[in-house]
Amino acid sequence: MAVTRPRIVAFLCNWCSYAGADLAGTTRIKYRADVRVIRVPCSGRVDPAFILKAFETGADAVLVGGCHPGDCHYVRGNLNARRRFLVLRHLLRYMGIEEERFQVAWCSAAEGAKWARLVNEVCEIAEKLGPLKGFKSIAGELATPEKEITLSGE
Amino acid sequence: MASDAEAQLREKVKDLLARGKVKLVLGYGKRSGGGVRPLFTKLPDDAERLVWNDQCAPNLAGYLTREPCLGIMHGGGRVGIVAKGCDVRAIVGLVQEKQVKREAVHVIGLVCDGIAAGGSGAAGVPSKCLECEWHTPPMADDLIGDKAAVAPRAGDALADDKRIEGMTDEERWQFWTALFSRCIKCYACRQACPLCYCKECITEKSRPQWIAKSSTIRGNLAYHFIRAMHLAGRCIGCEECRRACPVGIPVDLLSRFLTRRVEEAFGYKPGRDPAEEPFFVTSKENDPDDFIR
Amino acid sequence: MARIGVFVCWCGSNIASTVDVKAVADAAAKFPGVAHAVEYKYMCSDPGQAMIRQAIADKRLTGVVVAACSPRMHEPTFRRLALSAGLNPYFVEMANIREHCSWVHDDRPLATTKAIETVKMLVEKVRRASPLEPIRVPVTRKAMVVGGGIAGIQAALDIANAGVDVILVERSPSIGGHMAQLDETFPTLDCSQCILTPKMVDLAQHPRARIYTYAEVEEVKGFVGNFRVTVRQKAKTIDHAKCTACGVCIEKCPASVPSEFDCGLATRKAVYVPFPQAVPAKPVIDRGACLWFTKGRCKVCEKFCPAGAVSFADKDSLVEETVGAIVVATGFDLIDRGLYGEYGYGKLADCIDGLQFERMLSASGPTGGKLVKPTSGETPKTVVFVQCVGSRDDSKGLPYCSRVCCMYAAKHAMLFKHKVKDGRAYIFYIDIRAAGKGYEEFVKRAVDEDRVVYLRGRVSRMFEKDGCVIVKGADTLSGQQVEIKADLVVLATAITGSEGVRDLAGKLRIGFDQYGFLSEAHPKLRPVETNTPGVFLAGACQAPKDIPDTVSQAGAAASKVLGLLSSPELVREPLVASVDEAICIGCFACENTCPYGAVEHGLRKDAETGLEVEVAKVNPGICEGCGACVPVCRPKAMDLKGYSEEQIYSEINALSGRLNVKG
Repeated sequence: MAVTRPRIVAFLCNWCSYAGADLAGTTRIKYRADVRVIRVPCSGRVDPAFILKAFETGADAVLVGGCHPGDCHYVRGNLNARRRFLVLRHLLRYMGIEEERFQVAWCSAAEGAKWARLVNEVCEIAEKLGPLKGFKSIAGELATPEKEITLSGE
Repeated sequence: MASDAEAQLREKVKDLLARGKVKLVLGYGKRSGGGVRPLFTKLPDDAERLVWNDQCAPNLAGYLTREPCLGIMHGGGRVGIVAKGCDVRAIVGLVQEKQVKREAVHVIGLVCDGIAAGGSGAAGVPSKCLECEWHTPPMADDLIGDKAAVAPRAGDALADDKRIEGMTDEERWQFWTALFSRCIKCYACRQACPLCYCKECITEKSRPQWIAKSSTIRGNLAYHFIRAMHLAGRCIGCEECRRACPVGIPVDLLSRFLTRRVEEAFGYKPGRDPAEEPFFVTSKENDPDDFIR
Repeated sequence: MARIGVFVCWCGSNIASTVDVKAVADAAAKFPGVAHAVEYKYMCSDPGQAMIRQAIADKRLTGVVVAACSPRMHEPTFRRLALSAGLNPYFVEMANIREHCSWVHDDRPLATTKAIETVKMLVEKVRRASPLEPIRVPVTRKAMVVGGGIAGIQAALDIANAGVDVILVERSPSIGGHMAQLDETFPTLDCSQCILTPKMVDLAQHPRARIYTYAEVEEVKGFVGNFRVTVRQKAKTIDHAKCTACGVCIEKCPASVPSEFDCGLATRKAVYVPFPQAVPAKPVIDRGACLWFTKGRCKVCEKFCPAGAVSFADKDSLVEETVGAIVVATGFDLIDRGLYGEYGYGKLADCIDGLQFERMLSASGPTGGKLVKPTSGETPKTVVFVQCVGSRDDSKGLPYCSRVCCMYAAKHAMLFKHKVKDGRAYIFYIDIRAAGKGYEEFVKRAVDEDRVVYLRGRVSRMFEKDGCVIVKGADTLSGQQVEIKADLVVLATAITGSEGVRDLAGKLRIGFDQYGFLSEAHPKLRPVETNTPGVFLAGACQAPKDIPDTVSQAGAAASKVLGLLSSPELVREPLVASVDEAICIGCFACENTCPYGAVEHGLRKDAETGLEVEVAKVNPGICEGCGACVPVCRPKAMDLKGYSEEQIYSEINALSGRLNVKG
């Protein structure tokens, strides 16, 4: 039986949030498997075009992880990004996309537990809001057909 | 607007060109069939063809980043420009973003009540005139017109905004997709915008293709979405994009909405001060962050 | 034509117990661009690596994706492997299927799906990689130290002794700093000058060291390995090449001003040597005090100088030095005690600060080492020392602890008792911080041997009465209000960054906090580096500290400098930003956004208009690779290698569509 699950794309900064996610792994904290992580050097590298493309290609929610203000490995990339992301949330809301689908979190390399909690929370939000129908309905030829994978030994 | 403002304008431009203070003046001329069109005056006698009335909607600042103005300013010459308050804000934006040097532009400011209904090609009064704070253009090297005689146009500039804010998410999505379904990707909005001066737009980029080029809903939505993000906090609300759109989409709604949010959140208003830094290149420690987990 | 190899690691059972690694390899074999897909128990082991190396050769692989642990763990390992196998290391990526997958998910089908999709994503990223070569920046094997106190002197000596040329720039006429003003230092009560002057002389005589005194840093251009520093050598008005230091000019000079070195307790002439052991020991003329420069008359020094060394026509000169690294050692200042109205606004003459007391204690000081009451000249019998004046004060002072005052207050009280055997010393304190080696024993000595009375409480006010200073305070341990009639009061005032340091920081593009202390790159792990590569910190300019810690930190900064300068080239990772100049519109949003100043201005002839336009260029020697400049570039002229627009686009795109999982 096919199972449809929410799709979350996360952009994590190498020095803080990606490391925090690594820590969740090292400490074996379990969380939902619906997130896919794209590594970037800094949250300041994240362009609104990424978020748009993620929604276009099937993401139900997008999460950006960065360093706490003052801790950015590159001085202030996270602060520049913070301004952009506020504007992006307004744009999403104005266009009729629930702004909760775009989440930004500060997660340090020591916050493995926070990362696990974040994933679970964002997955719940995506489930509560349901699949992002709008983009899927206009995605047209880009949406690949659902395919099944076979696990070995079956 | 009195017609002696027009006479003063012609005198002033004639004088500036005769004395060689500027090599070219961008102004308005009569358009056959009614209304106005841009007029480039190079010789003092050309000044007689300039007009000034309540139909002078176009924002001429966009020409400052194109030839022949580029070549003139590069060669050390100066360009004069007939500018209303809204037009000056575009010039300020260009100076902030290092596209134009302030001293290379001679701003001939015209005191303006607002464009008349129908004067910009659309039925009503442009919404920018309903919220104008710049009836007397700032930063004018020469100022023409009577400050005291300004009779601003009345109306709710935010009517469209309020309508949209009052919709549900679903309704808003339907509204925008319906609106953008008309878009034919002619890019007239981009070409008309004085702050869209990139020689090669991100829309043209194929590797990677962030914005689908075709005029499907997906492609249209992506284009306007990114355009709004690129103009957020930069859009000065001149409505050239709306005027230019051949299929009547109020393209400016998105970028003006975002620019209002930028002002609320960061206290930054575009087109205010040429020495200010654009809002997206700086950040403050106490920028709003309650949306962050 | 991409031929990518996918290597899926079991990591023993760490991955394989949750993720079906064979299914991942099988799925990967079908991805476009993949020519080879296998799984193995330990990819990072020798046999594992050998297997990859063999596959690169046998299958002529153009890229490698290792699906295993976090790239933060082994990306360098596999990139080095690729390099040794003849494959450009930047065509190697790791898919994190352990920390982000097998270790955090229980459900086998879901974890396997995630692993497959993650591998697909990284395969797409590798397909859009470009061959990158490490960036080589030539390094000038020379260092500069700004500030000539003990921190600067020690750093310069350590650098020079290691065989590297060093330039020291000091803005006052002599090196030595505040340590030269001290009498005896805790906890050993060594004579400060006696331990400092040998270092000063060593530096002055060192063949690899060059000292500029009465000079300041005017401008800093360039970047790590190649700083071009303009030093302003202020006009000394005395030609040191001719001067024999006979001192006649100083004797004859009629103009006097308060002495900075003696903290206003004595005067000095307009032509002066700041203190007898100054290095250099030759005078300069303070043009702000000199009668010739202020009023147009005198020139007595010139008349009497037997060597003809006085040159009134002397002008400031600018010298350009190229250095590979800079150490900032600008020290500290004490806050102005005039801020405290309850302590007399600085107007009570018998209420002085710690440095002034040091000058009084000093045998070569304004009173010849005799402790006197400033108003009457008599020997003070009752001296009150007040700690934490301005420190640990949230209401109107500074919130931090100035670290050295508990120790020097104890020292001052002891030295006072040594000189005035029947004197009474009181110290008002909040806590005693005596954490260093021998420090606790030192304070105990003050109490047990020298009978210094410690009162735990704050001083609420002090005022002059009958020629004495009445000090009103609290003794919280006994619960009593205390009033002491003091002959002399010494305030332990707070330490801040030194005056003018913010300007210098701006020139070096390093940060500072609101108290004027310079910002280190990381408070625990990188205490002597700054966010500007090649600029280091030493001493109290970074935070209040005592002499032992200062000397240690100076050595640490020197070691960083020596490491940086140890090879003729700096090799940097090529994951830097770059500009497509044909598209760049010269708005310089990137320049404004970059915290490192890596964006420079270049010129390009525009193909369409034929005009020369200014465009942005990234200096790969400075760029740290954060990519903050890319989102602000609207036409996307800017891109970041290793995390390029195409690569990230392909990663997002690879995640599109769904894999529905059975079960």
